Amino acid sequence: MLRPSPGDLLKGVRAGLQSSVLSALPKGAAQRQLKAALHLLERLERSWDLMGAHLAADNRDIETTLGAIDDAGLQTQLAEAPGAAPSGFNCPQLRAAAARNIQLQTVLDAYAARHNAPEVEALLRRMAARDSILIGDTLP
Amino acid sequence: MSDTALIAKLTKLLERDNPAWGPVRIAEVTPVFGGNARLAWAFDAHTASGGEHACILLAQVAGKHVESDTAEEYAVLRAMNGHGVCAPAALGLDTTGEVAGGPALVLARMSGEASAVDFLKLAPEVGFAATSELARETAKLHAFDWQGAGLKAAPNPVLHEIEQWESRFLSHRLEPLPALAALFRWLKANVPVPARLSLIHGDLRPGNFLFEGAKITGLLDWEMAHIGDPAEDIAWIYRALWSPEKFLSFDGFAAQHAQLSGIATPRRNLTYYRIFSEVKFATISVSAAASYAAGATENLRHIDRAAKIPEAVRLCHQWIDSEKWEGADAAA
Repeated sequence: MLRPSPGDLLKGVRAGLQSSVLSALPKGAAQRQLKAALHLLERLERSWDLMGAHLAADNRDIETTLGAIDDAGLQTQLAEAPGAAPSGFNCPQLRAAAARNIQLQTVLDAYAARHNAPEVEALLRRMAARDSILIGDTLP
Repeated sequence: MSDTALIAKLTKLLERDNPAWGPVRIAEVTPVFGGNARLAWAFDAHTASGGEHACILLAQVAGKHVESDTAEEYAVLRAMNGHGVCAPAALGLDTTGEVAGGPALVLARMSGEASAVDFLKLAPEVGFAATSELARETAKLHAFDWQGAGLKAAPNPVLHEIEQWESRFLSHRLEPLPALAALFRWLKANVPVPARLSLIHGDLRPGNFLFEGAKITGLLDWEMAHIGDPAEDIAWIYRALWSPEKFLSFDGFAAQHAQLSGIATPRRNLTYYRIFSEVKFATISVSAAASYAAGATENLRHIDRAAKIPEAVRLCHQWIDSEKWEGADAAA
């Protein structure tokens, strides 16, 4: 691996910008932009490496929960190939997992809109809890 | 656009919309911060009779994350003006973007400070008095006779508001967000009956009113005003990000509001609108993220707004679990 790690790099960039750039900027639009960027860097420090585990857990949970529902149409949708991957991913495996996640969420969203099923409600709550970890609100 | 050109257009607009003023003279315009969604200029308009009007021009920017209708906002302000609601006088309307490039309003410039950060830094006793004053001004707004003033409501205004936000969510989401979609379904299935249908500010919170010490001098930013349940404004004022809870509790504010307005808002309505507030905030975040992704704005405050959604969803689940909802009034 290469050190400093990406988390360390993000931390270093944030600290450098905060100490030497932010203090040099007058109040105004540029300062507001930098403050927003620093806030984002701080969140990425806490969460940059969580996406792989998140997508794996989310996809597994949605597949298992929806896969257990006796609905032929639903099972056909789950078996379909994912669509295009969302932008911003470099790792091929991660890109594929992200594409699958979007597909599974689309199937889930359509199913949940038609059926008021307790197991789907429970799934949505587990997904919300995982999202909180992904963005760095909750420790993994 | 040069200041000279802007002044010429502003002068023409004010003379058109305020014929009683006669010829208007504006010496200069000063750009001021107008929030994330609007450009703003402060100026003084002088009339032939010696009158001097402190004004502010607010113009929508492209790629804003909350759609709004400037003409509707102007109509709401005109309806309220002169009826005791602490809102700025509406002095001019440009729906075409001729004056400043986007739909624009000219309003009376009120004194005071709007900073949410500074409001929340007030000394405890001053903050308590100011928040109590906010309860009073909110109560006056909700007791305002909007029908008598000529404003109209949608056939089912409470459900209409939820559907409007759901429509924004569906058209702006960058991914399915099924948990948030499910919350819209929950909101529609559990719509409460309002204690009264009132004019709702729609974005009332620290940052959107002016204050001088403990005095509230003006309620600002009426672009999300609509007819609805008074509980909606109370719940929004107390969203965690800007809540004045440390000065006056949510229950204390609601009790003062009820006493001053005569509107007894049921507890369940208040909880319902805390849930609605989170869903609305999450939807604004969805719109902001979409706006950034589409290249419609370079405002970095919007770039990571999607990260606000999980906390909003978590709070919704918490509040849903805090009440018994079966047998809800179902105003829908």
